[in-house]
Amino acid sequence: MKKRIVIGGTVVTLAVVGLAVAWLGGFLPSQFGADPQRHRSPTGEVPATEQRPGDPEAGYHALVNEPYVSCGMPQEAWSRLAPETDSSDLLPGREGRNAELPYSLTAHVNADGIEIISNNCLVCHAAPIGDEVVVGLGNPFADFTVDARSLVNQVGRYVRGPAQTAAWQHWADRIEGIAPYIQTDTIGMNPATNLSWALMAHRDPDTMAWSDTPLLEPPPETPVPLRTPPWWWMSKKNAMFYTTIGRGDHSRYMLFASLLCADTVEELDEIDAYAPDIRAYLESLSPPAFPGEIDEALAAEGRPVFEANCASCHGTYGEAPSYPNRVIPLDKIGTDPLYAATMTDGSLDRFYKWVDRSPHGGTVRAAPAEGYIAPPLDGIWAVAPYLHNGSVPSLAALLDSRLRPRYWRHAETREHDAEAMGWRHEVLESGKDAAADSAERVNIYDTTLPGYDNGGHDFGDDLSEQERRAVLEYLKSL
Amino acid sequence: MTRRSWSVVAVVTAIAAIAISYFLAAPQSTEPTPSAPLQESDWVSAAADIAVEEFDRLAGPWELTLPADHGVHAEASTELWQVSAHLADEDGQPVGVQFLLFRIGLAGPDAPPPTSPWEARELYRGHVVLVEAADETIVAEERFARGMAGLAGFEENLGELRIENWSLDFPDRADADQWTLNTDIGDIRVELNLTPEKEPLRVDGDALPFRGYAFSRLRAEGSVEKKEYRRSVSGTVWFEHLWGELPIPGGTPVASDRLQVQLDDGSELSVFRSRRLDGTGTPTVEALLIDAEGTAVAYDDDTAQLELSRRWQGAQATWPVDWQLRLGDLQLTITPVMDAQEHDFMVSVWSGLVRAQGERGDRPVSGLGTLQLTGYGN
Repeated sequence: MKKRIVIGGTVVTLAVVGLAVAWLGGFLPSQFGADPQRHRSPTGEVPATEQRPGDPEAGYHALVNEPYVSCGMPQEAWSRLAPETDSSDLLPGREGRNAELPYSLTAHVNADGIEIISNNCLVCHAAPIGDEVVVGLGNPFADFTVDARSLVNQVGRYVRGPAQTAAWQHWADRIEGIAPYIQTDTIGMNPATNLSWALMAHRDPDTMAWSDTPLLEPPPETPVPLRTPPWWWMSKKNAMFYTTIGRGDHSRYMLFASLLCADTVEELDEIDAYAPDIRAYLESLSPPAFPGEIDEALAAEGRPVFEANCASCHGTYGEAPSYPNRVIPLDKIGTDPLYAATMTDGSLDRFYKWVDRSPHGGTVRAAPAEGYIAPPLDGIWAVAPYLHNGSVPSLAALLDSRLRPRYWRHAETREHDAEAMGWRHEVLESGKDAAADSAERVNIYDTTLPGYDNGGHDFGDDLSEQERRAVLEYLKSL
Repeated sequence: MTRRSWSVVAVVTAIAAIAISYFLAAPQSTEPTPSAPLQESDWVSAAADIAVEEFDRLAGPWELTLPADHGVHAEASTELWQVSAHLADEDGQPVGVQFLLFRIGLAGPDAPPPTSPWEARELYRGHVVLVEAADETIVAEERFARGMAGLAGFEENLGELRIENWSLDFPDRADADQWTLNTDIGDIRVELNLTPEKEPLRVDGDALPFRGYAFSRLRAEGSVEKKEYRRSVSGTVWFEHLWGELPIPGGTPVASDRLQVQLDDGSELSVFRSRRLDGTGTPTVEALLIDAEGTAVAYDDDTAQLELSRRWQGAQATWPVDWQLRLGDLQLTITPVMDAQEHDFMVSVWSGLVRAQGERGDRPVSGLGTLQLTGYGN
């Protein structure tokens, strides 16, 4: 508790400094503590915020080449540990060493002349469907179920010499700080939210300096289960993330992705220089086209049913598309409340205040609503499993709650079934408790566990069987 | 603020796929390690640095083929053979024998043929340790040699691995299941006949930068012969053979301890504990439990509990010699048969015979094992 009081004191001091330097421009911390609603948003419509313009082409180049995550493992250790890169994991437009790395990794040379291999955004924001890597698709198989420290130590056995050791140690120390907070219990679930809080707990918001001991009370160790949504929805959404917590300048919000390694404000500024380009690229993304045949007559039959029953939340598509940007309150949507509840119950407010005190304070604001935004449905056929917690394996089950399996797992083949609009999966008789070992346990989606509930969004139940078939066919065309 | 942009740290994911599926042989540290992260490298690691340039990571499909795979894999930069014997003499007193041979390739597969038979293409380092609880004696010897027929290496036509007069024989065909270990230290001669009792476990070469296999249980019969007496010994042996990009200690910031235990209920246990040499960070544990039928189950930090319960002050360092372990319903206390089992090899190491006692569920289990501690010395 003492720490929090001290930090509260710092906020006050900062506010004064903020006033004094307000004329200097740039990112300035400012005082927002007085307004208790600053860190909450109402449900209902999300207002638009003007975004900094950027060049999508430059943005793609930066996304796949720039070292916005600047710590990682020495390339030499990587080269000894890594298997051969599969050619299907290569992406166009990558330069130098990056051209030969799997799409989720980026190389750069650090100040000591050591080549570093680090993860980039695509580790969670790209995935193959069939033979093609779909940039922007949330990775349904991202595996955060292993203690990251084990990996760090395994890599450390291949690190040699003082300069490599120093680079490895930088990375190892950061992972040490966050490892307890980013281990999920199911493959495909993404701990990024908790990761953010953990990083903020270890960084001074004014200087970005890292502290091995947390400066704020860290978040709970167990991440709330979350499914990564696709990037191509960003162009329609006025705020980022399921609870619309990400308000203001989206490109600066994305900059927090660099918090793992960026130890100075200057380093963040360098990344900020191209962040609007990356945002512009994300906005330029289109969803992949449905790969199968669409029964046009059936889809045409589905369209009016969709527009009568779904469009008020999810918008309309076609020649004159619309999207209402609406957050649906928990009691109406009825999906698992854990995520929205923990975001708005006050237990994480210290991190929202951290955002205000950071160099981005004033241009971004953390303000979740107690509900979930109804997403755009562009490319919805590709983004299974569905709902914010990935608890529903196929779109058919999303539109008919009676079909939702209580326990299920992805098939070993990891094959996308476009017709069913979901990844091939097996329905199981029992949940994680009955699993023989941890390898089996992490593959099981157990909707009886906290945060994994597959109820809610049961609006499709009221449609007739034929109407549901027609709507599903129509959804393939979005 | 969440999700999409913060994905970053997944530093884990991509690579986790590689490293995590380790199997029994998660990176080895059977070689002695220096103690400080930035310590000057010893010559083994210096030679290994040279070797790295010459060799590619092993790639492509691989199937374990025995007895051929017992021999040298010249395409691999480093290679390790290790015998850990857990025996008893006629009075039932514990006897431990360790035999280790490490090969470093100096010239890769693309190097031109040697111009002279004296040209060194490989370096070998070996050691033998003999521990006898009955009279609390421990003897050890370390050897170095360059690879050369009759001196050090593998003689294919004999199926014999050798460094000077220490040898491990894998007779071809006729007696494929009858191996022989012959070593001596001074005037003490150790001879063991080894018979596999379980199928070999194969390293997952897709997931790790090295290949190999382990026989986690061989039956051992033999003798320890000194001037004044000859003791018959019998028990079990654990044999491992790995090749590829083995982690070479020396200048690395992480060291690992290794425990191998053979229990009297027919199961075996392998544990790696890795830690940063500078004392920061959280040590990590990887363990593998092999049941009597040969089925292996992996444990990690979430499922294995390990506590270092006592340290012993030796001449070279303070060594964590007592361990408390819990893996599922198996609980074990590990204690050395005697504390003084440190060795002043090229770099100092504690490598010795330990007793394991505990319970599996409510049934008592016990056994013997080999514990190797590295990176604690000066």
